[in-house]
Amino acid sequence: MSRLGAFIRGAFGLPRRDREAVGRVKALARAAGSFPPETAFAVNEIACADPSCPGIETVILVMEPGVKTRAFKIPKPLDDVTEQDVRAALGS
Amino acid sequence: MTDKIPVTVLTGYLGAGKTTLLNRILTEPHGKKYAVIVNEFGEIGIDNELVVGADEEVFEMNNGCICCTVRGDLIRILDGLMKRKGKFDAIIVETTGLADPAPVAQTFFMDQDVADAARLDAVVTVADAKWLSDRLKDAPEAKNQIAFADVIVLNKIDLVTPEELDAVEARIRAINPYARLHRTQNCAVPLAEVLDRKAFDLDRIIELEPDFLEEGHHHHHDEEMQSVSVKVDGEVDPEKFMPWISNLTQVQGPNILRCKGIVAFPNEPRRFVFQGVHMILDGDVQGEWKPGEKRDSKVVFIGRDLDEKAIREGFLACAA
Repeated sequence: MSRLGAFIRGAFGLPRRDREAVGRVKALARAAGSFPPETAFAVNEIACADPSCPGIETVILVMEPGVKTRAFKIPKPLDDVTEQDVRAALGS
Repeated sequence: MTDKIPVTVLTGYLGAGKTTLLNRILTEPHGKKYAVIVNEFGEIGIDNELVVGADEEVFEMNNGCICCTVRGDLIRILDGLMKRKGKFDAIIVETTGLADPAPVAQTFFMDQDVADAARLDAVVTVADAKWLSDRLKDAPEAKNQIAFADVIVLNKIDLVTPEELDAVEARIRAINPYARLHRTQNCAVPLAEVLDRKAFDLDRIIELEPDFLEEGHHHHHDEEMQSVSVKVDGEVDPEKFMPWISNLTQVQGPNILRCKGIVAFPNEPRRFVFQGVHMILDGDVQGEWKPGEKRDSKVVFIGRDLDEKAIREGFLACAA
């Protein structure tokens, strides 16, 4: 029955609890630009069920000190994101 | 769950008394150390407490979808605070009177790192007994803050007559019949009623609301924001219920501020418990039904312009 919880989690855009995959893409993002060390990165796989949303995307938020947060989107599941995808998204 | 830092979100319209409550939390001898995230450095001159200024940056993770908005500043600050883990026991996020609590709550569900490190404990809304009724007429934010609340501190009761107080409480109950409400002067509420409520923990929904499955007796009505509760006397079929709740929250998500429910499935000794914000739901089986307890099912939605008839018919049609 616990699969029902998983069903809801998976169906509503909740991030999967996969720290390793997040850490991997975060490291790629940090390496893709010359960011100050205090820069915070947030990496999430969004699978929003809203019809106006584009389906599964990996969203990278880059939060440099004193700069407005920027979002970079890669139209792929988190596990499929490559170094080239991150570099292309961040324009580096 | 236990090693996650609890986060209390403190909302309330301008001048309601948020800072008074915050100062009490920070100065009473409870032995806990708080990190406080405030929108601006106000008059919180507390020694050795960590007070962090934030800019309430609401950020869209996706295409303008209300359900995908998070508080970017929270992610950034929590990222920094977690590096100092062990220096404080809990976090309080104070929002401005104009802030929508939804992006704050959604940050805890949408962002992987935030969800790993911290847990949303409760949304506490401070309301001004004298002016709330006026604010509910002219400020949608005030209505959101009442609708979203797990705990409502109805403050400044010394400034109104008993009749006025009953009237303002009725206005609150028309929007949110389920929040724990405390009438206060100078926000004098026991802090145990405000902190560590675990209002978003699935296994506490039953504990916090032992009467959840009882039929309520709320006959107030708000023209725009309302609560809809529907009860099935007995079990529901998961094959019908899951698609129904998924579709309802997808379609009505922007209008649904909060929802929760306790549901009995056939041949399942545990309750299925869920709660959600907009279209983000969290649900699982929790806590066995007690021997002899009536296995009823109930869902509650608080939101704007909800189609009560469709929700009622939809849930009743899920009966096993």
